[in-house]
Amino acid sequence: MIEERPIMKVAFFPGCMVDMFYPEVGMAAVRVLERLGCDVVLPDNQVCCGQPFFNSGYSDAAKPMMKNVIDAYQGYETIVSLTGSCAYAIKGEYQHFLENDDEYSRKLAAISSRIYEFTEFIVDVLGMTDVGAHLDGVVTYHKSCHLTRLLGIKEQPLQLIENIHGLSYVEMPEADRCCGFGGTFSVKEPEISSHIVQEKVINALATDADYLCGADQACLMNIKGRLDRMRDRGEIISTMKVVHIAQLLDLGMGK
Amino acid sequence: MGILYDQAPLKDKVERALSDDFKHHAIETAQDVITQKRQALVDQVENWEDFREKAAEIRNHVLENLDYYVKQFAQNAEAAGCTMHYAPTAEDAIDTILDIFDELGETSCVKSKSMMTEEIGLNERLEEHGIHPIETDCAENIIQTAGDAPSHIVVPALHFDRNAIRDLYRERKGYTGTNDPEEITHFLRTMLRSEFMNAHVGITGCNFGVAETGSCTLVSNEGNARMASTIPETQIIVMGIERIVPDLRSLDVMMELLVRSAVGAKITSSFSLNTGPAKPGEVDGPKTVHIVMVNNGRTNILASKYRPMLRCIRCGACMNTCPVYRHITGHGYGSIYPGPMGIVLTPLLVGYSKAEKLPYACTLCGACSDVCPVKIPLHDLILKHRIDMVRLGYTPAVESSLFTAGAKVFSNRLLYEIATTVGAPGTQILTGNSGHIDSGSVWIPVLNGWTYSRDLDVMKHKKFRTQLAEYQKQKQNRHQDQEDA
Amino acid sequence: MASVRLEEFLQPISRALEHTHVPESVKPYDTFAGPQRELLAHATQEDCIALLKQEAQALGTLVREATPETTAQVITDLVKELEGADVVFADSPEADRYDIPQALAAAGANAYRWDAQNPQESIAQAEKAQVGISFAYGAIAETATVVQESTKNSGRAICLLPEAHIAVVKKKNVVARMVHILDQLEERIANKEVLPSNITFISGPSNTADIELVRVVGVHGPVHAAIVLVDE
Repeated sequence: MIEERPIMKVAFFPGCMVDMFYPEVGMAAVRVLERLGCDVVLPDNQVCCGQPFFNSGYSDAAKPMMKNVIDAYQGYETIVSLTGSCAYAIKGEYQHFLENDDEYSRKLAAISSRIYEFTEFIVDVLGMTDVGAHLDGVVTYHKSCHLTRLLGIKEQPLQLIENIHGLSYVEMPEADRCCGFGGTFSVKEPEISSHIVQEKVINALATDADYLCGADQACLMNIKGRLDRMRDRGEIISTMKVVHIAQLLDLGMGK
Repeated sequence: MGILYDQAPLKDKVERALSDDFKHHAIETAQDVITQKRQALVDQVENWEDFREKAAEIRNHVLENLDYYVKQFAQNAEAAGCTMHYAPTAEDAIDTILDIFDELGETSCVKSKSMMTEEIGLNERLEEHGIHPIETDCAENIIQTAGDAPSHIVVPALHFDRNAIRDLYRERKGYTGTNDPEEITHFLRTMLRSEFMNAHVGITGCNFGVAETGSCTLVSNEGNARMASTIPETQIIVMGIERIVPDLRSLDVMMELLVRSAVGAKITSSFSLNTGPAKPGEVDGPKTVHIVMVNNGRTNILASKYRPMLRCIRCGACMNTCPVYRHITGHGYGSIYPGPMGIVLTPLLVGYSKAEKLPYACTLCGACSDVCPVKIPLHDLILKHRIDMVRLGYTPAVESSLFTAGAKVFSNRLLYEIATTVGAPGTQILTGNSGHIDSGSVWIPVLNGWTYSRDLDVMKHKKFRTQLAEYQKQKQNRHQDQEDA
Repeated sequence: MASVRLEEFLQPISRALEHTHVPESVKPYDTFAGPQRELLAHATQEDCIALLKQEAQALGTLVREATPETTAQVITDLVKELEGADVVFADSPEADRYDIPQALAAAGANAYRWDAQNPQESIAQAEKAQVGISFAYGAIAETATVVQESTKNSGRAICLLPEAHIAVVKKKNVVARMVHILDQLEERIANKEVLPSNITFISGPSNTADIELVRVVGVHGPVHAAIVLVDE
């Protein structure tokens, strides 16, 4: 195999949902990154970013989790997060909780600017929009909140999607409206959450897409959960598949 | 009524709101209509973000110097001929207003829409003292006639449809017309015109108080705020201390943002700038203007990390974009201040024990902060409430110990491995033929929140970390084999 | 206890800001500069008139153009169009300069001149009138807004109680944005002028969307609005 550029070592942050429920999504991302010339490592002590805890108000309890993440990723030149939500937690939220902790504020500052969300990394750092993936069909994309609004990563995922050969993109109505997951909100306020996700599913189905993709597995788990339930109950007839953007980019890539 | 009009548990309020299909649908439609109109106008203003920035700066500047500006405003309003009253609490504001009525010997008044008067629960208290306030804003009149609670801060009667409104006025006010909104509105025009012409006291709010001149402004489409400040001899203006802008010039920035954000229009049909009572010789306009400035807990907010909330100009854009408000409507919150701004403001005004779980009725999606014309970081402030609630012990003990224990597991690789490896087969057992956990699992309390409305995919035997390690090992072996060959 | 003294009221505010006392002055903040200066920054007078007409149309406001000589005729035509049998008009010098009372009388309208000496009658006439005519301080192109000051000779009721309101504005007083009117007011204050008790920025007929968000024109204020632009 001939490498055109030096191999770039990236420390990977998969997110708990991928680690526990959707390892195949993580593996797809790893394959994509490797084909693009990256050497992917998973730091030994990496665990949860703590967001579900501090977003529920348990910021004191979450501090050891934040420190654990900060320690786990010290020393890495480039960090790639497969979830915009966790990336935002680390880059955008940690500082508020650690402002009285000089040591960890310093350590956080050292890694913060080196953390890239997966699609941001491919487009902005590697400079790639066409990774050579191929898939026939129609896709729609859920613009997850933390990625789109709070990290401001709006164009990169769409650029990658639009360059998948054979795939055409249709925007769903209210694509950037919350899917109703909201971390622990989904189980603390399930009645509200289910109404919100129901509308998200209906908006996605309105596009007649073959695939609903997103860049945050937690949102996708939520949307897929509702879609599966609606199918189970016979409320809808649809073969729409819910996939992470990494899985789309992995398909037919390099062939 | 005051701030909270429904103190049922959040779950009950939400359930009631969600089960009311008309209300639910009406708010969905309203959100769609208003946000589309707003967005179309915002897109036309190329420097919209600069306006937001400027407005936030102006509001911050006032808040940072609020003692100075309240004093300046008060002195200038007094110099312009207004009678000033200073009410530290809602109760003080009520007493002040009752005293004014006593002195005048009046037993009724016309009112234009004012959130401040709702916050202090003015109408109820006036009624208790035999004074009849007549709400003249169409929506407020509908709500007052029905004895209901507002579901929005700008368009509070959207939860009534035209048939319900027709029936309401037929039953209570002798209306004989159809359900046509125009016909009903013109009935209200006629009915309320005579109330205006006979009124001796008008009560209004104040959108912005101008420190430099002591002027009070009123923003209105229906013209009722103008009526209430034209015909009655006495006008009572009730305003929160944070309504102030430094000077007349600042009004341009505020109005550019307020009207577009609130109703998706460039301007309202009238924007009045009132400075003092009518001048000698003037035929109309109030002969006496009382301004009641109300603190009601605002200085506590000013001193806290929630200070940015005082920038709020009550436009309602945050609730118009909120995915939660969309479904539970204003009534799901049980507060006159619903939606994201309500979640931030209500607990600050009534305390956590009364506001209950309000700060948790939010997905933290950040859409509200994005549209807020004065850039209040609403979702961040909501998160701050949650953190304060946990610290002050307002969350259930069981939850608290669960999170504390969970945090230990999730901050340690080894504990996490053990816990999640044990958990995985458990979730697999729960799957039926579908391969995911369906509604058959709702008997399990922890899972119930998820699975009562959604399926859950099973946890995998081999987590990502394991799979990656195996994959990398295989790759290394292959590499080794190739080198050996 | 109801109301407290101002000093007492200010104390908790100062405390919240960690001020030992209410400051005598504040660090100046520039309210003049900003994005409000950038919009329509290069609009000419012609642009402003064109924009005002366009925005007026969107609001449902009628716009007519006139010279000092034709103003009376334009107004009587409008009054006819608005089916105004009873008219109330402001007692402003312009009314006479443009010969409006005579023209209205000649057209058969029952025209009443606002009369500060007769307050009750003035209000009653405004309440009865189908059309109110006032002479505006200026107008704003961006929003087709007329800026109306209330004075002894031009009451608030003229542009509020009748079903239709006609605002007469000199073309030269049409500005691009609200801030330009506010600048003029700032200048007047700086020159120690006392502000009128009421200045209303009127943009189209009164309206509401309170019932099912259906827009209805004509609530408590005028049902019809018109602007007469006088080239003077």
